[in-house]
Amino acid sequence: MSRRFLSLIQTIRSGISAQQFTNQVVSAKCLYYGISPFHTCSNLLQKENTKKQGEEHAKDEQRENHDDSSDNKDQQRQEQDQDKDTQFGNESESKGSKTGFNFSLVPVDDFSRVENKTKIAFHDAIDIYKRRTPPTGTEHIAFIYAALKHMKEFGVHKDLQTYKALIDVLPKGKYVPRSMFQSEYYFHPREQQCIVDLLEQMEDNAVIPDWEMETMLVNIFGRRGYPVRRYWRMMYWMPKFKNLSPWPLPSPVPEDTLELAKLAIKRIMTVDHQSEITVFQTKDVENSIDDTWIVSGQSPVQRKLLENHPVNKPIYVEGGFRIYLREMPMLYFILRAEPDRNRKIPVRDDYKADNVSQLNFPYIATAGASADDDIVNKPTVHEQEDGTFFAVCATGTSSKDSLLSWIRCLEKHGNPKLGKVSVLFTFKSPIGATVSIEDENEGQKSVDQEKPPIES
Amino acid sequence: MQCYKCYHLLSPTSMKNVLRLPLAQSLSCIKYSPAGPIVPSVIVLNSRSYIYEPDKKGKGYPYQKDVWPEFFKLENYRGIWPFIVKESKNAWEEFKDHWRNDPIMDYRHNEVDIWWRFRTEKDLEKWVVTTDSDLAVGRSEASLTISPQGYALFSGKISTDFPQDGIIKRSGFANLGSLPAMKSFGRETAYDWTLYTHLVMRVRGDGRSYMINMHLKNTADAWWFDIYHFILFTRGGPYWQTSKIPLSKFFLGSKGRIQDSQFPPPLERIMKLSFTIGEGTQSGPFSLEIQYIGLTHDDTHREETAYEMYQVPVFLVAH
Repeated sequence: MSRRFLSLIQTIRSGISAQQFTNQVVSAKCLYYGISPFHTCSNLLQKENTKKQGEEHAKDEQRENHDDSSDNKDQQRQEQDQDKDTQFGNESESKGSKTGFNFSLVPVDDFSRVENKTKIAFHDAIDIYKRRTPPTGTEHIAFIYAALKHMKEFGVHKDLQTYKALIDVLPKGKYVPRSMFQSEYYFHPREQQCIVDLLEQMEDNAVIPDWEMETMLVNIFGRRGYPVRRYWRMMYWMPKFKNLSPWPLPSPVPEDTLELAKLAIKRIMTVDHQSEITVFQTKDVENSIDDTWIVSGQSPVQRKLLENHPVNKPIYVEGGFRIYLREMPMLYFILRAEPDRNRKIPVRDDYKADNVSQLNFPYIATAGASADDDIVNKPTVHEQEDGTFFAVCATGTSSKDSLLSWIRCLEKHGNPKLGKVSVLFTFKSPIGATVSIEDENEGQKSVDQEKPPIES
Repeated sequence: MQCYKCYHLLSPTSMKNVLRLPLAQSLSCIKYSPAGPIVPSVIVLNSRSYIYEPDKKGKGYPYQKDVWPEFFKLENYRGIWPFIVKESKNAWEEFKDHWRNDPIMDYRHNEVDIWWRFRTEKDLEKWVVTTDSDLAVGRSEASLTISPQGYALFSGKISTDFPQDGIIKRSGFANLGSLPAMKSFGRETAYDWTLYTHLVMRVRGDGRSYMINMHLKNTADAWWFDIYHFILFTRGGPYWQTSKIPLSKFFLGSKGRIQDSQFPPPLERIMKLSFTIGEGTQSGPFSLEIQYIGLTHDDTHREETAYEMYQVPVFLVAH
């Protein structure tokens, strides 16, 4: 049984006459854009209705819509549906009655008019569209393209369920090729390309499809449809790349800054498996101005290095440096000392190593080879050529005060040396460019706002 | 005006851009090809796939048809003598190398042969930075400089803005590519990496991922755009990292699309290496410091390609 009949029966069951059903079709026109025969038809219908019913029509419709939804849906859903119906219905009606026919090529899609942009609202829009639109013509494509465009606003661009609901808009069986030639020559190209684009958007947002989607696509396009093939390719490659990163992150990355900071510091400190991540609160520190958190990462090796650090050499707090967790930037600060230039470095004379004539046989000590010179402690991973790193942190405010609190916290937690060594706070660093929290915010804005004209 | 393949609308103003842009090919606005998954970090342009490819740099680049008038103009030969002298010296070195005949006889386990070192400005001259703003399809900026430590610093700002001409779907990338392998007098050649198994790099990134591309020296136009890709993940933070990436993990793509039929990378004809950053969502600054890029031979690594080589149904995938 076709969807049209189903929806008709649905509406009749819920106590609405056929005349009112056509009204609902009219108000659903806001969900697709562009010129289509159906669009113009709905405008005509609307004109007739306005003639018949006059001004009272708009007032009545709210009540009718309310009746329609009350039987089928639960309380929360009902409210959403009602809100949206009224929004879509009234606005589009008023616009239609003013302008009449509209042949402009400006997209008219009313996803942008929804005030409460939630997942439920988006799904309701799809439901309304499916309920009111006959499965003929090419309106589905316009609807799906409009929906794809607005998914990010509704926060559903990473939601598999929504993509599946969009695919479900297409009628089943209609686009399945029935002959060899139809199959070979891209049967119903617009529909196929539309779903290929949908799959591409899924891929861009790193949404891996599931097996139910295969069944849906096969029911719509047949086993040789291009969207089905693309689906198979996605199911081959995307799981392969999903866990490729040696520093895995949750998907999606949390929006909470504290959780992000924990992830960032943990990621930086993967160089040393002994390292510990601690969360300090600045209110525990005396005389602190800010009330925020500090995520600090330090390993026992670093604590030992700090303990052996000479008192007369200063230690620097530097930053903030930027680290990205996928698309989310995070600022971090380091506790660094200048590298020890006098450190004994094992001399590796390549010429000597390759020279077979002067082989050093350890059991017979040869003259001139002093073993003491060659044996030095291997530098730890924290003693890099651009400095010795004692700790890493990220704070809630990235302010100087919070960094001072960090040093106090570190001193309390196993680094008494910090009380004796002079600690300098510099917002410049020899190891790279630094950014302040204001720069970070402005940078984000400027990337979005600066739009100089492009000259080709 | 409407795209002839889909519902996207092209306004008269955007049509002007379309005609002015060298990359515009036709009036359709989305890629009319049911191709495979897109590799992240490429601009997606509208271009139908044809068998004939006019230019190695890709369709849409200004392609000069009349070269003979330029050939006979004397002013084009003004700076030729320093070039000839320099290239003659190179040719002489090649000649000596050829007769010295001293290839690497022993690829020792895990010994890194450094292919590109980044210490001086001269080392940076072997690399080229390209962004989408160079092609007038975006606003990203990037540069390659010497970092405070004296290594290469590939940094800039990715912007995902793009001209709304109905042709470009998304943009925002920066690319760092080595010069193609050249013999004297600008003759093309290729590196032979057959006996290496891993790519080794010492880098310090900012947590972003970069795509490593191995460009091949291919003669026929159908294979010009075959590139082997893999991802370079960076940790982020103040510590350097050494990435050792098996060459067998590289997967085949053409024009940014992963191909259905995979093959082991033909390591005997690697033309150049490049790094790309840019994804639709990652707008903002980036930085990648590189100490060296080298190759190594790992005795324990026997894999030719990491991807399945089984037969697939005929006519269902690209064959």
